[in-house]
Amino acid sequence: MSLAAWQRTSLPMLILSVLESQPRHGYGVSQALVEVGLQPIKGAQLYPTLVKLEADGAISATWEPAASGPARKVYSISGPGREQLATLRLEWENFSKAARALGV
Amino acid sequence: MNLIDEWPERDRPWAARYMVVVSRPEVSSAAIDARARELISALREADAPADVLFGDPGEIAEEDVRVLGTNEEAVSASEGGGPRQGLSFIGTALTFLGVSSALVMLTRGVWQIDVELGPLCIVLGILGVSIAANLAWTLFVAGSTGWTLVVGAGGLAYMAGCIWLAAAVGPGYLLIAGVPLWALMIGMALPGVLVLLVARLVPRRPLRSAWADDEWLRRFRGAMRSQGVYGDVAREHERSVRAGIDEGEGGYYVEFGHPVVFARSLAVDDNRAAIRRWRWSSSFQVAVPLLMCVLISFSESFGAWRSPAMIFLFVSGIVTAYTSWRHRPAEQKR
Repeated sequence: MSLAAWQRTSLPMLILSVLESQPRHGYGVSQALVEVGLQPIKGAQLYPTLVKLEADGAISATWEPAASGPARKVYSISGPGREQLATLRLEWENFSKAARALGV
Repeated sequence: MNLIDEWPERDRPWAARYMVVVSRPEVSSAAIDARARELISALREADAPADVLFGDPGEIAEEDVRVLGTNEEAVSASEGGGPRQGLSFIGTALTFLGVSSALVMLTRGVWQIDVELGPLCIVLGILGVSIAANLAWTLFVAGSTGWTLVVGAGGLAYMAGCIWLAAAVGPGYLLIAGVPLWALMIGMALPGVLVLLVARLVPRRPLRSAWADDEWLRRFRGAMRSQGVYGDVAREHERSVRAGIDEGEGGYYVEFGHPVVFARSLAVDDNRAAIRRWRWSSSFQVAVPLLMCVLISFSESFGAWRSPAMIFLFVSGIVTAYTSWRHRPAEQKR
């Protein structure tokens, strides 16, 4: 499986992790992933995931006026989002541990 | 060789059930074939029955739909996915209409019919408005709202013209006397069959990949509408998409892909839109047989078949309503 495919599968966890430290707009989320060595994510993948997380109550969004140009939508993690992130991290760690035990 | 023949004899009922459930518009036939071959080779290696090795065929098929299904394939396979799919949809609808009308004529037990101009105008009007309605639906699904309205209005105007002509001509204007029933039946089924044949000749093209930004936005709006997304939510999506394009690089297609696919990916998880889509499709599926039942109750054409046909249509409507209600999407509280 390619890095992009792993990234796609774990996108909700990655987004919540990025938003845990600070609120960001959509492009900022993608940039944060690139900064740690992951691939940039197109809006086609990123935006539907953000919408789903927002619908699930894991994140909230507000419009903030930009210094120049149109307003930007800024996403923040919510209380239920932090709980969801903790659960996802635990599942990820368990999976990684099991994979490492197999020599992966 | 048919793929079902490659399954071990004892597992064919399991395979048939699996294929029925996994055959969804969002799963490509290539993906289904590849997955079926995987399952067949696993069965041969394990030398165990499919229900023991894989469990319930419905459950494994549902899981495969989740893994193999894509929004691209769903849009590409839909009636709005291209000329071939659109023509197939229109041809199927016309064939159904033609064959059912032909069968109704058969129930009258009259083997030769005089063709008059007035009734012929009405038949041609119904044919034209059916083509327009189906074409308008394919355009609506493809997100072309403007063309949907143009074709819909054109169809209604054509129908009105045919009715006006029929009224102007009046009864008794004989065109051809004593046309054999079989010739009329073929004539009724022919338009649909011809459209289906043309659809077969049109190659299935990949989804369009060149979009001007304005056109992309128009299609995106139209596609959200056809997916049942409410106006307030659609406006919020559009605003977010516009903001997203200001932050990123390149045009809408580069950033968000095909507008109808993107709209579908947003609508799939939208609970209110899902409920709305369910309301639309359920209302249509229940209303059609019940309406036909009412129309038949006023018709003299069915003879002895009138009561059985009415009972059949009424029961179909009620069963559809019950089944649809049982499968309604749950309302999620936010």
